[in-house]
Amino acid sequence: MDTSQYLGIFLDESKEHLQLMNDGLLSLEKDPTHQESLENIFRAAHTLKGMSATMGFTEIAEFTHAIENVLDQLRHGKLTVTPETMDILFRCLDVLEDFVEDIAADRPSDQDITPLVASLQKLQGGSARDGSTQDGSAQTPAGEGAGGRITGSESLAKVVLTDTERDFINQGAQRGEGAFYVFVQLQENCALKSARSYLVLRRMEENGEVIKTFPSSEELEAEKFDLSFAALYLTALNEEEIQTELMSVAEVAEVKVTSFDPAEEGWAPQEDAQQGEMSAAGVQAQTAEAGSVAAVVAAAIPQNGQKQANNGHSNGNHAIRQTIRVDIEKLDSLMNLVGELVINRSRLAQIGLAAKVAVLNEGIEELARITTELQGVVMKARMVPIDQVFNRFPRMVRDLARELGKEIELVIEGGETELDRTVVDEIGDPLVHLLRNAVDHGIESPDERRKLNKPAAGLVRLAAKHEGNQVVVQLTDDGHGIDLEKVRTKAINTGFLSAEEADEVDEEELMGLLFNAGFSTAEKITEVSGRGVGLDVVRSKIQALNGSVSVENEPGKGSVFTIKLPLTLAIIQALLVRVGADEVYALPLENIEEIVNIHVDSIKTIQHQEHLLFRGQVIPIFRMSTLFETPEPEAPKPYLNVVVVRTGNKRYGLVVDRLIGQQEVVIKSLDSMFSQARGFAGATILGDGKVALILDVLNLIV
Amino acid sequence: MAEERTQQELQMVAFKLKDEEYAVTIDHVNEIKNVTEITRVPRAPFYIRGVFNLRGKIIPVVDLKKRLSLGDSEVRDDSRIIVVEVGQHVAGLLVDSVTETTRVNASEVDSPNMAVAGIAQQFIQGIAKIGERLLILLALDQIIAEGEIRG
Repeated sequence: MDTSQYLGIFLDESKEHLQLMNDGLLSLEKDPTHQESLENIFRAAHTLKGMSATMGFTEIAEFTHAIENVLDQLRHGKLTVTPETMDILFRCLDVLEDFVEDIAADRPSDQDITPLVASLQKLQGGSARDGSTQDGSAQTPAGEGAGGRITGSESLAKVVLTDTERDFINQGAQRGEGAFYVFVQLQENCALKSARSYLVLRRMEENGEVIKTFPSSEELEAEKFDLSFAALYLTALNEEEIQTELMSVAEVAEVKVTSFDPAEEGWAPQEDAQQGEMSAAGVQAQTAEAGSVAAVVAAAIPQNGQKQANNGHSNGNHAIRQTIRVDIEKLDSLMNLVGELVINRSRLAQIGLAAKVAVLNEGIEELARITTELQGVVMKARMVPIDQVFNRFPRMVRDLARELGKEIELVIEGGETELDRTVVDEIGDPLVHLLRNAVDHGIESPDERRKLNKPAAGLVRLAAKHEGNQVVVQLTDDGHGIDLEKVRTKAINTGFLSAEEADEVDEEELMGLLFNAGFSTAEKITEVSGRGVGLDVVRSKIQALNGSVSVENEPGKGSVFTIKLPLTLAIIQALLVRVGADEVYALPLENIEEIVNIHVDSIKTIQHQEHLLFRGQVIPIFRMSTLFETPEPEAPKPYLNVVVVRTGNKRYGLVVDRLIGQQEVVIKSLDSMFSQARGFAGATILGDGKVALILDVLNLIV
Repeated sequence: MAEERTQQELQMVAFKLKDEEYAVTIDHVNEIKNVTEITRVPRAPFYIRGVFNLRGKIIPVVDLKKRLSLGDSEVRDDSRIIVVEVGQHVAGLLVDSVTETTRVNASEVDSPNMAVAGIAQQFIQGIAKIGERLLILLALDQIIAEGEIRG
């Protein structure tokens, strides 16, 4: 079977299962007796094993198998959860992640799993060599290398099983699944034998797992078989059901199903009642895994978001919804097309206004309504829960806390908050930075905390929520906060401020300094943070996303970092302004603090720079016609329109000739030929088809 | 290089800047447009006239006369924008008029060994002879280059 077309799905789903394992392990570590977590981890591992085996990634399959053995013993109480077990399992998870990364990057894997497999086996300790089986009934006789034999009438050849395959069967048996030898005869006039065999195998995988085919899948694919082939099949269906199922595939002449017995004797697919119960879950997992690899339209992925939001404890009701995986590029081009539509809508609206034809305007209004709705739907389709970023933090914080000898309680809220996937992709690094800072510098050591009458475990809270057209992410810690005096001293020592200036600056300005390049107050440079690269990177990254970051501080009690992000990057609200005779620019509303009309006399010139006293503060103002050397500037007027903009800690006024109005604009990027033209975030197309540049308030003034 | 060229025929778009005739090879040309509204981009390289809307895409327009140091362009009725694609860039070339598309035997194209018509040598790929006419074949990759200013 050619599996390359399923690689994307495999990678996506592997990551999901690894994440499930990760979540499970974390909650298991908190509560080692939590059976549900164990079951979840086991199920995820099992599915991963099946998927990777199907895709031919035998290394992953075998490694996962070794992990599964340990998990199985854990869930059956044959092993207990110890810190050592947890560490080994976490390390295994890392290795699995690396494996998947390697596949994604299409590079050969050089993972050495031998030591980990050895540790896993050591964990299993004195139990049987093949630790996965629960009792004798399904146990393969030890030392038997040649595998079982077919007892059916249509045996083509001796079936030789590998250890892994035998374990598959044994585990299936525990879930109440039987192994069958299925012989399929195709009709003589069958045109595409290879394709037909593929369809048959796919049908089988809908209800179970194909362990092996005769001849091999490569040979089947190359049509190196006559009209018949056979497969070793693991399923909860019975012989008759299999028969009916497969006969329904077109061009199949005959299906013979024989119960397969790997050990020749004592084969009993039906176990006791307890295992009967298990089988339901087993089959579900089984179906999911087979379907996931075989079908492009995958069944709904339970919403991980809510689970994480509840701190991984409740695995509650997974609302099953029909979902479909779509290439992100398709969504991007859909978004672009909607952008075009929005532009043309505005254009039509203008024509309609000029033409004053009532019927036309009615039509345009209807079009406007539909376009807006369409735009909303497409935007929603691009939204992903921020959980995709958040869910890697529990593990990271856990490792970090261990490394630094701290106790941290990480609380994550609002993981289900959705925002545009481009934003989600970019927000990870800045958050990692802030989290590391909080754990490393914010939270005190347990001893210190006890002395301060704080609980030994430091609280780090990461919360996301919607606020109007924005997403607000807050990171709160209850550590010692930021020492303002230290910041002051540091500012003087590093030359950011003179001693006199340092005395004058207020708290807010001092905190603003933290976001400057080369500024770190960490006393000792640890591996985690404190090398003076950090908050400035955080800020520039977030500003690049049209977002903002600020910090509040309460010395001794902790600090709060607040990040505000736009829901989407593709369309923004902007104020259109005119400069000179006919140049129109778009200012992101996000950056606008206020618009004022001032008399020219209220402008004061300080050191060749015009300033304005605005709400008790002196802010610089710039005339846009001068900034941009506009060819036809307007004649001087007594009253000026000043748009006060703010980004980060920069605040200034822009003098424009006319305010046109607020409008939604679609951001388009400028060619790299304009890389030296600083101050533009992109361009947009206005209703009349003209291009207007979108200002980048941060880089406009150099 | 001379050997390879002998058999080859080049198809090119010929156009005028002032009184001289120029050409670019047709493989690079996407389309030829009437001049529509061009939006000035402040702080851009001096030879970039601005950007225009080409069916929803924002395309930079290179003022070819400025680029080749031939003086300022005025947009007239005959003026055209030749939309070219060079590497990652799609850009418009503002020219005074487009004369024709024509074929030239590669052997009729001479390498420039000096500055021609006051244009820096780096911008010239060759001189094509068509009967009595001389076409200056432009090196587009040099003309459409990232942000920097040359010549």
